[in-house]
Amino acid sequence: MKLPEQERHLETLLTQLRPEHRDQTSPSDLLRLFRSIRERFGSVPPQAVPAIARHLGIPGIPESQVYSAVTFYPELSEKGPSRDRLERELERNFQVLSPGDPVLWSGAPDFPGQTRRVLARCGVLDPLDFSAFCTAGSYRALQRARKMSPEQVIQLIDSSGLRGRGGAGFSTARKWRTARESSAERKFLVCNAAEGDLGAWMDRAILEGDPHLVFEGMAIAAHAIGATRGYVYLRSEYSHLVPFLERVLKQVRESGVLGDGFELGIFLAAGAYVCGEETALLNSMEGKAGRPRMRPPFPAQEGLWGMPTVVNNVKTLAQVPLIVQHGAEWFSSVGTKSSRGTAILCLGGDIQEPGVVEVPMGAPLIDVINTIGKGARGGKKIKAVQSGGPLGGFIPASELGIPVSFESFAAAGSPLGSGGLIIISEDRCMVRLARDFSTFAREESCGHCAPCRLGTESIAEVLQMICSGRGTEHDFEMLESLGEMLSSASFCAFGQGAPAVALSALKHFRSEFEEHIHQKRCSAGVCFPASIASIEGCAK
Amino acid sequence: MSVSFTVDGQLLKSSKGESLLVALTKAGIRVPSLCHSPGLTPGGHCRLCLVELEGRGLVAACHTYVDDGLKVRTETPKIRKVRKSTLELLLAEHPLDCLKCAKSGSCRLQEVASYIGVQPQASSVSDLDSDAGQDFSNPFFTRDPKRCVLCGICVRTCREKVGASAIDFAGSGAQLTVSPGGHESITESRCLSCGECVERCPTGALIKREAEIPAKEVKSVCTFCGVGCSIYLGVRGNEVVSVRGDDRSPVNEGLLCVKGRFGFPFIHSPERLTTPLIRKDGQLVPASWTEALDLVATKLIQYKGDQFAAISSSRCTNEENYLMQKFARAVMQTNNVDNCARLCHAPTVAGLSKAFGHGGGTNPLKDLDETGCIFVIGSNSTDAHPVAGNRIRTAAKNVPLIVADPRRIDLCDQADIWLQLRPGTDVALLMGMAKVILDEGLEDTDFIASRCEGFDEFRSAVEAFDLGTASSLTGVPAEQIAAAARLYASSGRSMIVYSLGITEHSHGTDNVLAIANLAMLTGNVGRPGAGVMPMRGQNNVQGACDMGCIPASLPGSQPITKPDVREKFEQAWSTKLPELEGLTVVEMLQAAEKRSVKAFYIMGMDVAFSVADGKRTRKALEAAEFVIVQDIFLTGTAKLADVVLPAASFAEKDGTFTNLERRLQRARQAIEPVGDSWPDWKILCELARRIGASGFDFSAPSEIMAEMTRLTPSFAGMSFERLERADGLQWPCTGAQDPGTARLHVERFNTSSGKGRLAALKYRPAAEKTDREYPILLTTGRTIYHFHLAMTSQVPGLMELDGEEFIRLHPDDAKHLRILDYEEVRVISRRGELRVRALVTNAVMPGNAFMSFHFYETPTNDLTQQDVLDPVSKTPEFKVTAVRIEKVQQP
Repeated sequence: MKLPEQERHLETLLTQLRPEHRDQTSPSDLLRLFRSIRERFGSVPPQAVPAIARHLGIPGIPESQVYSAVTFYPELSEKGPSRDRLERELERNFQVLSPGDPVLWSGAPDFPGQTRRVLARCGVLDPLDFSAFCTAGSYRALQRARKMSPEQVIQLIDSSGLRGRGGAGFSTARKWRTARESSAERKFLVCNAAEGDLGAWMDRAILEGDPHLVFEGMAIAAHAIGATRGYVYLRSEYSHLVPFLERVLKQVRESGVLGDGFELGIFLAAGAYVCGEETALLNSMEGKAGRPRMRPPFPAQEGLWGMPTVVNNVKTLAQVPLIVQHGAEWFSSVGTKSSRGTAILCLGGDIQEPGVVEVPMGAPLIDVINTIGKGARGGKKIKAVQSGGPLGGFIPASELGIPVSFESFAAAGSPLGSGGLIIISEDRCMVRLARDFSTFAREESCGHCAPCRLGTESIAEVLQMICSGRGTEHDFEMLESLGEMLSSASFCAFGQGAPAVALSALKHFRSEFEEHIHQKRCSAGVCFPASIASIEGCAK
Repeated sequence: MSVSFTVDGQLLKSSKGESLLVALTKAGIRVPSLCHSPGLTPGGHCRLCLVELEGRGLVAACHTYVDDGLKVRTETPKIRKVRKSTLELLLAEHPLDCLKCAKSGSCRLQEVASYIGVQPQASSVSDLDSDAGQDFSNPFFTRDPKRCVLCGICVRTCREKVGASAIDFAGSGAQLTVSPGGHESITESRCLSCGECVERCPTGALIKREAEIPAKEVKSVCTFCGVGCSIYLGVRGNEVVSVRGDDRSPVNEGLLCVKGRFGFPFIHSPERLTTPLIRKDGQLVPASWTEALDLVATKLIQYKGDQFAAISSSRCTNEENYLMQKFARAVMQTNNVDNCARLCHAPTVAGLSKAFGHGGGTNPLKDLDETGCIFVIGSNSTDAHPVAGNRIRTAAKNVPLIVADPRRIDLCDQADIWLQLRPGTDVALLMGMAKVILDEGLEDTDFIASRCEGFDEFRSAVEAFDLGTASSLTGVPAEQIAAAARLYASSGRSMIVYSLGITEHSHGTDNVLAIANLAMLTGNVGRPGAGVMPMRGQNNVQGACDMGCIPASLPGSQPITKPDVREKFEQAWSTKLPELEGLTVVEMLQAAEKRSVKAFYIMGMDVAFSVADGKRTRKALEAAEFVIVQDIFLTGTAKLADVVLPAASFAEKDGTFTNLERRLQRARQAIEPVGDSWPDWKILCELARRIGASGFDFSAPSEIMAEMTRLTPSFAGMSFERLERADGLQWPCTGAQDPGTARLHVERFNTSSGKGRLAALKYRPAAEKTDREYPILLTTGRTIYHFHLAMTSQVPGLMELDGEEFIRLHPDDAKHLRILDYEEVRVISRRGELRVRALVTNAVMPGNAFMSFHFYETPTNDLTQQDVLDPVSKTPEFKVTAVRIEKVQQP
């Protein structure tokens, strides 16, 4: 390896890292170690990785795995800067918040039309004022839960009908029960805060506004499943939250409210979108490339280090203390039959008043947009709402009357996902949107399976051709067959969902595609003739 | 548990836990796939093995498991369409210059494409520059990433089967590749060149450099170490052109190491001896067989009795070894017959016989997969016994591994505890562990009470080894010794694996006894996953001893000194047999110095360079009046001979070899003997007849075995005919219905009392000591690329990977001596000196150094000593040599 000038510094850094770590270093420190190398030197040159790996000699990690992991994560690899540029560009283009922007509370300060349960204290109390939170009721549910048997807690959650808020909508109680029933000596709880959907930052808003609710939810879940260790798996773009969260955690630890049997820590991710998928997330915590695992076994059976692990989304865990405190009936007093409680949504895109909102499940989508979000920006007409993130789809204007719920969004062909909603006004080109989302999917494909590795690339390529005026009639068939391949043959939910946005655009807005292909015209005026070559040109 | 399900309307049965892909394939239903490889965990990469499950839609058959009532369709319009899309994309990034690709014809991608029915249109990959991006660094295979379909079979093979994890996926998405850990070439990585990934690669991404398709295959046994991997030799005409592992073998399950897969070109080396040689006027000159054999016969008649010594070969077959000891005893009237086990595992035979009653390993290799803890001491298994080493490495992913070794060997990377003990302090370490076990009540009291004797004496001997003493003698921190003891004693089922790091000491037998103590103390003998496994070095070192090429015993460890035993053989062989035990190898040589041994018959052993103190050994051989060497190469020893007889290699003859599991397996003749070489058994018979002896009229090795089994109760149930059908038989096998013995000592030990004998041991330091003049302690051992000297040095690829001796020394010592990496140094012991280059590495401890013994140019054994031997087994102290390392002043 040759690292002109830096070589000596690197040597020094490695020596600093080595003595205290070598024998105690666990594979899960891998990302942290490489992050500190990158912070010192700006980048981790791939040709230096073998030497670094050999030097670190982390027990249990072969050198090839170090290289595999380091080259996988955008934050550590050379891919990072270009991937980040793309994401920021998309955020700017879609007019959604970037991870560094301050959180917006839609409807503040009196939040008309909202049912603020999880968000009740967000933006109201100072999160660093621990006693204020305690006075307001934080950690009381935990005390109550500790007086219940784990099975009673699980029973309570079961009867509330709580479903995972991360996107899959799986029964929370069932996950917990699976982990509970295992006789393994160690169990883990992971709070999934790898929030990566464009324009979705509900998790971040909760962690910033009421971290105690999340920690409390984690402690209750840990009690229920018998976990002794919990981690908040934090999206790397939220690294600026780490000092804040550590401060809050310090207060919590010092207060002793968590008790002796449960330790909480923060694990900072390294920038891969697919790590929001729970098995990929676990791989990354083990210092491996964050590719999804084969299932079964499910994480609740064999998760982190092969031990039963429950991975719950921030929003799911934040509901838990409320259910324990107020009861299952109270929880399901709002909502629909199969989507109970409240939904936490993030309004972004072409909307008058963007921000995080909490509404009862079942509230009509159009009301949320018009009443709370005050309609489209500049009095424009709404063409569609994008939901479910890059693996989601579009709900066309004609269907905006549907209620907010897992089932009605699914029926409309665009999943509710984690709750990020991007409002699309009449000025936007749907082909261009499809291309942008497809480009994101291509960038984030982990490459594990052939359909996703090759299919996401082909879809992005076809859409790019259409946007640049080189589309042909054959492209329709091409998109549909690639889409079918991805959705039915891919290894994990990422690949299965990767073509969804494009297919949804094609389904609802086929005329725009035809216009691009046959007339070489873009009504929105964003595609050809100008700036067609690269994604950077897509800002209007 | 059996489950039934329907496939395309047909009812199928299969066992639960099996994947649909495996079940369908077994049922003869074809399911296309690129990323499935037998015995590996499913990868789920290629997504071509799609089937439709009623109620679930398309699923990948490789990671969907059979279950009752499943309704499976293997061919629907949707399946056709989807897998065709995937395949088209795969082909679009694959070069289509198939005729230029060595894999053409056996390429899975071609096969799948023709099955699925894709006509590739055009590839984005240009075939003009077909060398671009290829990795030619390995002498045995080429990597061509352009032809890689990212199926991950190589990655999983290296991780799951080999345990080396040299390669892994790198990057993500469209930039995904398989990388040797980021190194530019595979040879810079931790790749061990075993070629298992090459064997399994479905496309031309990994290709053997020299691949010829054989006309027929002959099942045989690898001869590069005592593991005894079952192989198929591929033959074209009279040439061995390929080798592959036998995937149905319980020994190796298809796996081979670099030597086993790529090391057999030695068979056709131009250096093979093709005609007898006779020394005339100081020169070895070619002679006819008649001339050579007549000369040998005439000479040997003059040396009958104890002035003759035979050194047999642990590379030759059991039948040949049987004949050699019969020749020495019945024809030459002496018990001076020994084999190279004297230099390696004689302490095992002595120690385990004393403690357990049998001198062999107690358990089969597969027990490594089901043990609860593995304790490896004095065995660099991944280098010296790679296929067994891989098994340890993969097993250790799930169970604790303790490694005791002065060097940081590869297994240390995976060890839960690494005990870096000073060379020669094994007894202190093992007795120290025993004391911890007793002090903490971790011993198996029932086992000790019902199965062992000598406990009280043992108990009091252990008292001398408190943790403080054990720690200060071994240099291992006390808490590590205690932790290892606890781990070993409390796993429920523990295995000890050891090798020459234990035996090649002036107290080697004590070391072995200390191991046996530990196993008996914790009840870890005679159960699945619980036992003692000595890793035998040469492919038939177990067999050579079993066949009676031992001065004290006739075949089957029957003592020569026992009158009834002698009588049985005398009757069978129609001759009187000498009553007294003969000389061991080193004693023979030392007797030659005193002119009491005058003639040597050396079969297949490079005595002059393998015995400790090489110069002294060569002088002893020169002092003998007549030396016959029978070998396949003109070895360093053969060069000193008066007559050299050209032997056939294992590929050129029939016979049996016994591996370290006591398993006899058949080697089969694949080709005619090279040149005018003869199988060793034929030479022995011919010679005996010329001397006028009867009882050597064998026309095939099977007849020799028949005689041996008639005289040897523990082999009585064996025959070529039985071995033809079985994957080997493990002795004892006492009758035609006896299936052989996978595990020894299950109910009783083979001692006279039926009980295991605990040994009250004392610590004795090594005989050789460092001092101011010779301050560095040198240990020796094998590397993965070589066997000993003559065979592997004939394989250019192995020499390319490891073609030169190095002395490995610690950075502190290098700094002190002002020696740089790769600098040539002089290594001087009290007996000899040589020049080698230095390799500065943390793998050896300060004050220690390490060399292999694979090169004639740098005869490592010129440094070692044969003055003090293990008193019981007469094995030299190879592992402890005091040396001085000096800079070579540049002229």
